[in-house]
Amino acid sequence: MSDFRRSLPNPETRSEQEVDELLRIWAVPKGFRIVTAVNNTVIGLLYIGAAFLFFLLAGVLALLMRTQLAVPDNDFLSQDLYNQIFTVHGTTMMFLFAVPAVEALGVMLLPQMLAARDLPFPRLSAFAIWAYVVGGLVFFSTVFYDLAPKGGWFMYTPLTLKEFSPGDNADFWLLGIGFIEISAIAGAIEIVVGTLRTRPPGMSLTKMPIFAWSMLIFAAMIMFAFPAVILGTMLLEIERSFGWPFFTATKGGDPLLWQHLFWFFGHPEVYIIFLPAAGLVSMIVPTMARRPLIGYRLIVVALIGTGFFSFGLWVHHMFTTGIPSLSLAFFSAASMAVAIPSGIQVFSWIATMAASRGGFRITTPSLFVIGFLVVFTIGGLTGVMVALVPVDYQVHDTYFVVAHFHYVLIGGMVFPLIATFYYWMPLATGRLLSERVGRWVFWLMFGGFNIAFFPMHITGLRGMPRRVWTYPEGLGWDALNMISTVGAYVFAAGVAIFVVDLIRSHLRPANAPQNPWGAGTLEWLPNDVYSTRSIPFVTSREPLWDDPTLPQEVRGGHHFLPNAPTGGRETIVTSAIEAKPQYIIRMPGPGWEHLIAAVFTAAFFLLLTVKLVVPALICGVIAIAACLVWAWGLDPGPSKGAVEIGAGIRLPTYESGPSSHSWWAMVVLIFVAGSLYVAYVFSYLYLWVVSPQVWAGHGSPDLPSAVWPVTIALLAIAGSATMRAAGRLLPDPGTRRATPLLLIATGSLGLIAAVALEMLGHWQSGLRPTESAYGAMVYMQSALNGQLAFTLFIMSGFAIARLLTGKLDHVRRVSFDNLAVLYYYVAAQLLVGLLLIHGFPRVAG
Amino acid sequence: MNRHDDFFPLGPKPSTTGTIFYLLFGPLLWAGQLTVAYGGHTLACVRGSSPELADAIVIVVTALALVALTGFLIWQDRCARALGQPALPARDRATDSMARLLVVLSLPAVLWGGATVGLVAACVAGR
Repeated sequence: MSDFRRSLPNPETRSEQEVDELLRIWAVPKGFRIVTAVNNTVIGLLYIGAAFLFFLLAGVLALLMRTQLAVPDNDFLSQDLYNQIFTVHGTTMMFLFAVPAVEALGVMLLPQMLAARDLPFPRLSAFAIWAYVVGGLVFFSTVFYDLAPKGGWFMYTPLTLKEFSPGDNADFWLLGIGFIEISAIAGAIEIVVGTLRTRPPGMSLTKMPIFAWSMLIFAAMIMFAFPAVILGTMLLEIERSFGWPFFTATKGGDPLLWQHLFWFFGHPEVYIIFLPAAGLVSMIVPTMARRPLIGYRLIVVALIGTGFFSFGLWVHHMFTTGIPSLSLAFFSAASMAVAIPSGIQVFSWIATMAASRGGFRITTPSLFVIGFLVVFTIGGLTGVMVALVPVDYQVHDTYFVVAHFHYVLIGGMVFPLIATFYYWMPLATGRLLSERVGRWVFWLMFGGFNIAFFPMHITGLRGMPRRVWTYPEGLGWDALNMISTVGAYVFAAGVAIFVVDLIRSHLRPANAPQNPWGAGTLEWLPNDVYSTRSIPFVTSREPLWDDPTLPQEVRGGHHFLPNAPTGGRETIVTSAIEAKPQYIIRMPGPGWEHLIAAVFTAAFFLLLTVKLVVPALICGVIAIAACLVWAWGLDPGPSKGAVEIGAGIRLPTYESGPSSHSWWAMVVLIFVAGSLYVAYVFSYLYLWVVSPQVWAGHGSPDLPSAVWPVTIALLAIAGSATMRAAGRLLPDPGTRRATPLLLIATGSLGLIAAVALEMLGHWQSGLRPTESAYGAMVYMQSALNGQLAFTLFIMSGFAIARLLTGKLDHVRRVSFDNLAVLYYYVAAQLLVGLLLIHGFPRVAG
Repeated sequence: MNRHDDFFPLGPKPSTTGTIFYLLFGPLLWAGQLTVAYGGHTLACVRGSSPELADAIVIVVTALALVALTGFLIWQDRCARALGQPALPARDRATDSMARLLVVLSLPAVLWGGATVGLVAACVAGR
């Protein structure tokens, strides 16, 4: 036992009244007010429940497709409906089930695994969840009204351009999914800041549970992958609505640009889904093996390596599009390289199982883990096959690929998810699921899955293409398709029994033991709505195994923060690397603001889809107003002073600047904005490579004179200087000063003027966005800068309002710091943009 | 009452940004190699019509990446200190070993990608 155990942070006996106060502060709203809840245990359950509902709905669509394909020349579904169904099936499974499900597990499990009272932005999580629930349900319902998109889950251009896909169907995908991606990014911000800043004292990065590592990498991948598809959806929607020809070849656009943007997101997306599932497996396997994971460091290395390498594979989805052979070889090599870190994880799990103490326990979670290992490994091997360019040429767009990615996705994500349900259900509900029924569920799902999808390898090798709604008999596909359909129904029977068991378990009393599996990680500490009574000091990766008295110590309030010294919701913020306590974060409780913001954000996008512009704008204004009301209460200031958390440590209850959690969140958001801009720069250069004949000086008007960019650059630089001066001149607490107010207003308006001048310069030169891909890209840059300038305008107004009401001063300054750091970023992006738009064509000729 | 130092002994503190770069040194170099090699050879092929230049870009960037990765393995302690890590023995050994393993993992990825130059002709349409 380590030396520190000789003494505890709070060795004295604690009052039980502290527990009552914690219960009061963290109480979940009752009745209909539960929709205002922000507790991670409540919204996490809602999140996972909604994701699972979408899994069931998309699963029903899969059964409809398999019924249609069971026999040749079938007319159970029409061709048009079949197209809608496979599009909604794929889109729902990827965007509405897989990513939200793992994000939900992060929201639900991370605070418990990190023994935090909650993640740092509970309302942001709640906002993301409600936006996703409302938007997702509306999107899915389009399949009932003949309004669903038909272009496949990847919506390839030119098929999805207005010319070939008239109507609003494709717009539902573009706007609906676009804002669900925003919801995913909101969740990612929460997870990045949560895992880095709300770990328990002592839990350094290298002691963090593997699931937390996997969620950190998952969220980082979302930050860099999702912006590419957000840009893609913006470009495609703008082309469909306003005719800016990004993807129209006759005007210098290129349909393949969509594929690049989509797959730069789409391939990492597979690992975005897989890595958290692998993290869950890495938590279950050691428990069932009753020993620490073999190769913890190797698994972390594998997770990071997979996260990186997955960004170098996107072109392997485009092998048949006529790309230079060296590119093909390059991406083929990267596609095979990613198998190495995946292999490391598989061997670590097998080694841990083999080295079990007293034999590997065969429980329902273990069965699903073993099923995952088998199925995912087969999917991985066929993945290496399709990474070989000649093989890909043969099987591209056939059922072989359908088999491959279902082995990877169902094996790599659904099986671990079901294992998770069985393993962590006692934590979420206090009830165990039935082990006996669980075995039925496993064998039906495992058997049904392989019966359904293994024959598809052969169907594909026999030449059956994907996405066909029917096929003539006698091509050697008839029996294989029938077998696949039978397997799909067997799989569905397994899922149905699981759902029945899930419902049945809720009818039983919540009497599961505290730590039913004998696990070693913190989520199995005694907990309640406030998470753990006190936040433990952590010195190992399996604290419950290394210190059997820890649950009693934590329950007795002998570790850190055993009470609520500020009288509100709070948790400890620790340093990102070593997890040393830094300050106490005060968190918001239940409220309506995030719910109103989410509902009206969803309404804004969905009304825009059906071209109801005025109602959409009204909803947008309401959503922004709700966000501002929500943000108004987020900067409580230092009024509570410093508080004692134990071990003689006194922590401040307020922090601003680079060490504050809100500054970290803004930096994460800037990384997202930066990724989106990099995707834009790639698109600009890509179209220049493809169509130099439409660039300035060739097929388009000459660039505006140098006076324009120089003036714009001066405005951006002067605006930044103004903002910096405003920061230095913020008043002392309790006093007012007009100068910073004027400086903030001037800086904000200066940036808007810079964006307006940029557009005006090109307009007076005769350049129009609808005439060529070059013109479209030039104005698109202003659109991107314009939306950021608009955001800054709102934030400036917010900061000015706080100045006027005495809520912003040189100490209480979080809202200004966030405004300033975003302002500097936008000014820098604007300057880089000037070099690209005004400098590059002059240099490139 | 216990004191802060019993739980968090005073000592050199690792830089947050430095630790991220230290840990991710290998994958970041791999990402740089992929970006320059892919972008560079595409430009050389499409705008320069020069397979030789395309090959040269990939070879040079691969060689530079390999030298940097090998250098990291040889002089890891210096790299660690340059990236804000405390001197041994105060440094976290797990971070050291993860950074090293990530460089080892990146080596074949860089080498594998670069080796394609010797296997296929640049600038020939793949299909």
